[in-house]
Amino acid sequence: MASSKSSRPTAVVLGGAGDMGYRVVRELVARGNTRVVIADYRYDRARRLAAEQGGDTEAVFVDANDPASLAAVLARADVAVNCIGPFFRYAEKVGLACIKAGVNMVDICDDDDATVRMLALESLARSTGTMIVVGVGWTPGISNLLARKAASELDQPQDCDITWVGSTADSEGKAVILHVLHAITRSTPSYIDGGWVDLPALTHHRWVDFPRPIGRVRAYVCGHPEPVTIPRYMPELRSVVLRGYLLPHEIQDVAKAMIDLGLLDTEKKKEALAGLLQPLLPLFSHLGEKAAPPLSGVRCDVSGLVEGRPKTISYFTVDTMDRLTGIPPAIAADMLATGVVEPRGGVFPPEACLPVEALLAELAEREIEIEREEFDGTLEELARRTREEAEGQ
Amino acid sequence: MTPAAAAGPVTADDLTAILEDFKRRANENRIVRKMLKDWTRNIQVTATDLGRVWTIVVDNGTVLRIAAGPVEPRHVHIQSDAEALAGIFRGEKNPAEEFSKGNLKFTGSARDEMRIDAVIQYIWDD
Repeated sequence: MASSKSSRPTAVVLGGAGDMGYRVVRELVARGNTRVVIADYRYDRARRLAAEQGGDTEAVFVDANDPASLAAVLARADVAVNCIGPFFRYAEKVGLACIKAGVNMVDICDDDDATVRMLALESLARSTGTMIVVGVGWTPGISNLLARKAASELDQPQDCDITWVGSTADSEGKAVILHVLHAITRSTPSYIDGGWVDLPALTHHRWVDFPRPIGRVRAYVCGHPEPVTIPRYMPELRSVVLRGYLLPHEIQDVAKAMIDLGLLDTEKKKEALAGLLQPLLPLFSHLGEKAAPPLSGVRCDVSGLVEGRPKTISYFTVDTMDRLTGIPPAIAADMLATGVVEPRGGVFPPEACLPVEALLAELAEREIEIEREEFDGTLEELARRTREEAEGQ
Repeated sequence: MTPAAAAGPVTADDLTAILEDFKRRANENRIVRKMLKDWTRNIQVTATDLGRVWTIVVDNGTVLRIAAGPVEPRHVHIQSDAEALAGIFRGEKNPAEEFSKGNLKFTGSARDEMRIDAVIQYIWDD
């Protein structure tokens, strides 16, 4: 283990030179509790980032498709953070490598199908005493913690709606594009009336309010892990539904047109299209009258009963995607490395194993502002009121 | 108060005043501050017809200063004539439109371009 060679534990950030990974690296270096190794396929980029960070930050090459390469890098790790996306392709490969190496790991997996496969590694992780915390980014991640927090304020929590808004001006990574194409082109699980049902993406719209400059959006169901994990660890909930929305508003029509034209009906086409779309993101960000803001957000509404009366508690935040996605896993990895979270074998989503208040307090320290609202009524009534206001505009 | 468009050609002094006003607005605008959080960049602005250079120095989310001349390392370079630059930083012209008309040259990453575009537009909202 690296800790035997150094006074500080070593944190290996897999994909650490990437669009989200670089933020994890910066945060871990700034926190100073771990020695950071940036492991990336793009070694030159990793080396430049390591040089910028200074100190004993190091860059190494890793190929996530090569188990031997992963094993060699993980041999140096006390804790790992996996930022190699898209996660429907890489989460399980990296998860298995960490379990085999016995290295506790935090990832930012945001695909529902990959999360199901990660949860299936539970007994293997327990057998090696390895702790895998899956989905500790923005959504999932902050969203799961907000669900826990909102539910804790109700006597009887019942229904949970989570909505994310992602801006085309807020990311330039191909993995993010591939994730979005994956999320909007399949039927994906939602948890309704106490059971999982597959709903087609881009349906079951709901109007949802975000702070400016995002404003009010008409979000739709899409593939994400929250409806898969939250009901397992918060069984008091009878529904968990996740919706998403892209900025600028006009990009929804572009996505729908691409689907209707059959441009996204195979993995090969999605891969090719993601490559084409990546350099066009600046153009997409200008589809509206105004440039899309380089900001993204997540909102969690949980309704239930307080003293027998219906109430909805809402938490939401708007910030840049890399901060929202990169700061939480850095905090979680730091907590694992320093013993704030006692490692135990198994695969857990954040709502199952991370200290909600402590983590939210750390996010506040990093100026991620989480706002709160409450509404005297059910989630359905809140959704109806927002819809009526939107359609009356 | 925004430096008003004066009659006659835009001068270097006009552009300095416009950029100083941009700095003040950026630091006071809540949404722009959110967009700039943790951002450190030296944004060089060149008025091609005047042969003059300024650098907007952004340090950890705050526009620290408008430097007369280049500041190294240069992360972003915006080049146009003084008239177009004045229009853009006064909020009268859309930088993307000026770019598509060939009136503006931008050198930097796509992410930086999108962020600067948005800042220039949202700075007038609050």
